Amino acid sequence: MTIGLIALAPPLTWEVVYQAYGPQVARWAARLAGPSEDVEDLVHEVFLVVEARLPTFVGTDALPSWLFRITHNVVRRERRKQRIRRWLLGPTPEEVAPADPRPDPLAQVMERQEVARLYQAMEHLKEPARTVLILHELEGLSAAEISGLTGIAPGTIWVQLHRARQRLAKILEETP
Amino acid sequence: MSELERLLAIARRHDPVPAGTLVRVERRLGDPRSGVTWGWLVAVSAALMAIWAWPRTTPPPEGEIERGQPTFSAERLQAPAPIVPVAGLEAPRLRPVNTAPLEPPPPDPSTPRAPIEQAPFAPTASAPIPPAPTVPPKAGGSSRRILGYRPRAFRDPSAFEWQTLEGEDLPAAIQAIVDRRDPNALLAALDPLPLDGRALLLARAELRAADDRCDEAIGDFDQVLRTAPQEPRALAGRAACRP
Repeated sequence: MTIGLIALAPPLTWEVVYQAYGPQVARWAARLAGPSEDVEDLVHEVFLVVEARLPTFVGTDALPSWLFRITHNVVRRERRKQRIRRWLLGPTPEEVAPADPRPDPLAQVMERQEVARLYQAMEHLKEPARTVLILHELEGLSAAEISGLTGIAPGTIWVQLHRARQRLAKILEETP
Repeated sequence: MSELERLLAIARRHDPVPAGTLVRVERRLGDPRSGVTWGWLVAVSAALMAIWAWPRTTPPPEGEIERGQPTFSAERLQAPAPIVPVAGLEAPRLRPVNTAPLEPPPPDPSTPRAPIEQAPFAPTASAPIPPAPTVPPKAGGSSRRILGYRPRAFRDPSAFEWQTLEGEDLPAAIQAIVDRRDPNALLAALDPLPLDGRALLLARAELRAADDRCDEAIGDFDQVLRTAPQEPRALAGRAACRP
């Protein structure tokens, strides 16, 4: 790759990044945050960061892993705020039974409550183990793909996954 | 099935992104009002403070102290303050200062200095730019021949073989377009670039051929064949584009 080609390549704008990776970022944000967070706000926040930091992106890193790191940090910050809010004010009604904007068959409500229960149980996991579990079990990524996004070694990923599953099963047994 | 497996299966089925989220986010990102950040707030606050602190040009009314002016009077400054002697304090002993002008240090004989030769300035003679090779215009290959050569990809540009660009070291903007799977955007991005990588050259050549621009496509195919004479995609593409 010549330097001239890199210099002459069209500028990387947030619109291009949004068109290419917007749906992927939305899925990451929604999966990492769980049903109690507003995905729209999270994705908006992520792309505000992307827009601000894009001039400093030099392309030494892969764009997807750069985006994943930003998404992960934004979600982590929001979850921390949510934890403090919950500690101060107690759980909001939305967290107990999240609202569903779609037509409301009973099965969908039950399903959302089950998902909310899973995410509440995952709150007890440590951050890397939780991320690895979500990416592998819910997004279906392989260890190599998770390693590419998070920078964690594949061997460590399997260990964390195994421990996270064990811990989660125990938590779910204790809190029916 | 354990409880964990059951919940994971439900969560996998559950679509986490509500419908219309991306459209709403795009609208918010395009709205300049949504870009109000701490930086803007700080800038506006600083501007307001600067306006407030700016000295007024009109004189203040009688008796009012102007903002930013000292509150003591000149008469008080002119009156010398009484000197109170302090016991045990001696004046410091000062050495007389040599006020003679400084001379440059003597030159060191052990390190002789070479005389500086000033090269006469002459503008560099710029090499004449060779004229661009003029390729005689060739008639483009007929669409029928192209369709026969690679029917699926050339009839439908969306069927472009993206996997040929996978694993290539591409600039981030090009990689984003490749990830977006948009052949028109890729052709528009590659058109003005001076390419020398085989994968991108072949991609541009095939997209140009699909766009019925065989004259330009042949140039790209030829450039690939100069470095890789047996490249099958370039051979087939050039053969299809020849009139």
